[in-house]
Amino acid sequence: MRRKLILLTLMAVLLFPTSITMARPLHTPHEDPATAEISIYVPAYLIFCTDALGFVHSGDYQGAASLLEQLGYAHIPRELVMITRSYNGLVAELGATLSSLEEELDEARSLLEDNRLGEAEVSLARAETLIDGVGGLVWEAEDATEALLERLGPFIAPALEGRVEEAYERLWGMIHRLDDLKAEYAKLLGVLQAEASAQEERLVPTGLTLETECFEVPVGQTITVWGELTSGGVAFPGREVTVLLDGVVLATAFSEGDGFYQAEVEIPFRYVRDMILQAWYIPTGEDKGLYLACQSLLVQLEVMFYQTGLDFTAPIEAYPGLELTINGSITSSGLPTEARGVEVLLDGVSIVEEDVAAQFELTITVPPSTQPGTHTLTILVKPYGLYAGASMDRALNIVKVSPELQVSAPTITISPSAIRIDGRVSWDEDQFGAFSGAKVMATLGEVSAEAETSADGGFSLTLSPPLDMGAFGPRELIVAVHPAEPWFAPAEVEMDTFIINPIVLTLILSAFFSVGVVVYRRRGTIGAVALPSEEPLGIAIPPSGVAGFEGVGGVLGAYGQALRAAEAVTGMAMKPHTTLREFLGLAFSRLGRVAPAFGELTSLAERALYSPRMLGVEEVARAEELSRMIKEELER
Amino acid sequence: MRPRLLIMLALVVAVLLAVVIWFYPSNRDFGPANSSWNGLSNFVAEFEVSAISSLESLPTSPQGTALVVIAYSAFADPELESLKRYVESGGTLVILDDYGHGNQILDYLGVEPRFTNDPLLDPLFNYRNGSLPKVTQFAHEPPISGVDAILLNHASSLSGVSEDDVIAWSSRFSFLDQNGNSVWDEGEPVGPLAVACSMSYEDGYIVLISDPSILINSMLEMEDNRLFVENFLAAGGTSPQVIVDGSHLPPSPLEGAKDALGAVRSALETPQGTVGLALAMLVLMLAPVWRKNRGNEGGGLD
Repeated sequence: MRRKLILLTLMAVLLFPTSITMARPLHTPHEDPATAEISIYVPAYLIFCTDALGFVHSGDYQGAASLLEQLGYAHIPRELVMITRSYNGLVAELGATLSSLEEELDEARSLLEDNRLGEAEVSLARAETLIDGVGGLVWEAEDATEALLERLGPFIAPALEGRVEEAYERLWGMIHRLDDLKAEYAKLLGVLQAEASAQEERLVPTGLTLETECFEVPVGQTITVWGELTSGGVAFPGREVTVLLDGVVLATAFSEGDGFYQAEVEIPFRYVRDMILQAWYIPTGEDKGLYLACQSLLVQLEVMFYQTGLDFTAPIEAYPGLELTINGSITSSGLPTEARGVEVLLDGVSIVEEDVAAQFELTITVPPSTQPGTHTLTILVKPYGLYAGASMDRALNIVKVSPELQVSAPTITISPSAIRIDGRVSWDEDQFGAFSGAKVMATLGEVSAEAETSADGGFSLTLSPPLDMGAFGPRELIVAVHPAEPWFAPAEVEMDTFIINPIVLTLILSAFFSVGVVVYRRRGTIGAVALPSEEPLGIAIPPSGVAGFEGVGGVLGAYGQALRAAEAVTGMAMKPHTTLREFLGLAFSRLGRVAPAFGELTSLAERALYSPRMLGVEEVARAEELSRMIKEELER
Repeated sequence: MRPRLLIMLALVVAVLLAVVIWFYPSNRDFGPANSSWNGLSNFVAEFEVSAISSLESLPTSPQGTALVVIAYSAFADPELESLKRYVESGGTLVILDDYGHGNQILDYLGVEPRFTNDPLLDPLFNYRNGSLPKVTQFAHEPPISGVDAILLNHASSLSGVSEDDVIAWSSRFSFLDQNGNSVWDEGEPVGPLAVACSMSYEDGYIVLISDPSILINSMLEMEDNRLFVENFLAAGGTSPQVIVDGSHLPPSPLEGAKDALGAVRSALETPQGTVGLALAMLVLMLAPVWRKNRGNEGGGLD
């Protein structure tokens, strides 16, 4: 019963941990993406193409473009990459062409509404070309769809054939709808072209000129422009003429009795080299059914202003939260100004705005939250009347000061006891000012303590680790300083302290002591049973009454006598664990002339002890003779 | 074989097994210490995450912290109350779940959204197969910015989410494979489906992600997953102190054995345990001597 219980315990001990480590979770919440099986679902590709064409058909060209952009995230097998890219390129081109066509037709319609026949005819010609392009692309899409299905063929699982067929039919349906769309646009083009022809026949053409008092104009100056509006070659009075500068309406004027008009135009404060001036006449009201629109030739104005130059210097390095001085100069091609508005930006964020003289010195404070690294310091001189603005960038390296941290802590600690840690934080006080109130944190395992630095950077704190029976050996002590000032970087020191737990130490010593006691007691017990003492070995002589053992007793008796004499002379005692041969080896050199004889006697004694053959009378006599000779020689 | 030898053999084998289990690398799904493909060691290291083994250890002032809960085992009422208190007091509670017990928390908190617990497949926008769907539609406003695509791994989806709270949708080609046949069937919900959302709750925030696998080592660097994680952790404020709940991860036999050994070790580290172990060792070592002495006293040896 006891044996069975032990066997059961043994099996339980062996099998329990093994079984729990071999068991696997029932449900896997993920798979390793590196080894995931590759599979594709063909209908999805066809549906994707149909959806993209659907966007195109509905005129949502932006939606189509967004969908096609997402194709980069689709899983496409290498064999299908080219065909899908080509197909989607075709769809994208179709969408873009249809979009352009739609814009052109809208533009043409709008121009015709304003009686701007000349421009409308140009737009209609472009639309005609685009319709031809759409026809070609739809034809290409039909071919590409067949090619796509052919390439997808090997990837179609038999179970999905029905779904693929369905998706393919939908795709073809969408292509046919695009063909219909093309026909609709062609019809619309025909309508607009007919309208253009009708306007040409029905409406009277008009003409417009534009002149200016000068072609070189300073920014901000007002100039006078004038011209003549005619209809059928004669003055066309009482009509509104619009003057535009770079496409923006700046002024309007009415033509007088002689068809002349005049307007004042203020040149805006835009510091560019050239501006384009133009005048338009667009019929309104009753004129819409009588006259065509017209526009003047373009007039190019050269814009004049003073260039502004800027140069500045700043330190290569700066510190978060500390001041930074910038020196600079502003120059201009015009007369010197008393003050210019200047803005300083760090990484595009405004830090300060100020009015400065031509030679300036600006002091700014680097935002405390600025992270260390390379940043861009920008100085922006604002435009001022005839003076253009200017800006300049310089790289600014934001760094933090690393204070020096010195820590004094015991290298050996008795646990549990408080650990006192002293230290000092030093830095360049002249440059960076006082350093106080920095948080100091010391951590030893899961125990930590906090303190603050004094005005001179010194600190002192005490860690009080609780009684931890597992604490024995080197432990890492981390002391970290987190300064309050943003220009200082945190500092950290790691050091080892050896933890000694007296209880654990006592237990370990007790264990060693116990082992020592066990070993000592075992040796003592074995000696008591087998060999009574450390006294020289006494050879036990077999009982004389036993048959065949007389010779053995005689040889061993002789050896015993010689052994005692040898022990007395050499001072070496035969130990309980020493064999006869070992003793011979130890004593041989000290036995002098009798050594060979003692060796022969040792051999006879060994034979008497270990050989299964009984010794003869001659051997016994020889042993006794050798023993006597050895004794006499040694006692001499 | 002698019984004493059997016991000794069993002890030796048990100790060897314990050593192997202790030092064998963790292979637990979502294990914070697991450095294999399915562990969270990279997430823990890169986001300086503290792992807690009990929801009792939640900070009492949770402002500025984000608690990541991977809800793979059921929650007890006190645990649900702890979570509620945490988020009410200003913490950001991030619940990641696909097929687990996330709805238990949502139910307790009394919010509308739910994890659908059905597999989300995307046959077109994926990595290698439909079970690894790519998500490319995100809310244009914070909390998600700068993320173009994320990759999920055997994900699910969310239902009952207000349109304004959704921060990521699956593609229009995705669907919930409710019958598990890996293809879309009539009646199965199709994309876009919400896969992530965030909402304020009392003084805190709740973030729901329908796939905890986004955090594992093999997924964190895929597409913009890392940036996405950074974004949703910062839902309640930038640079939060991140805490991961290790007490509701999928059960792992190896981890169970490690925990058991850890408990034994902790017990032995107490004063009573250490003294008891030392006494046991002494008794074991001195037993032969004691037995022999008793034998001698009885006159058993001449």
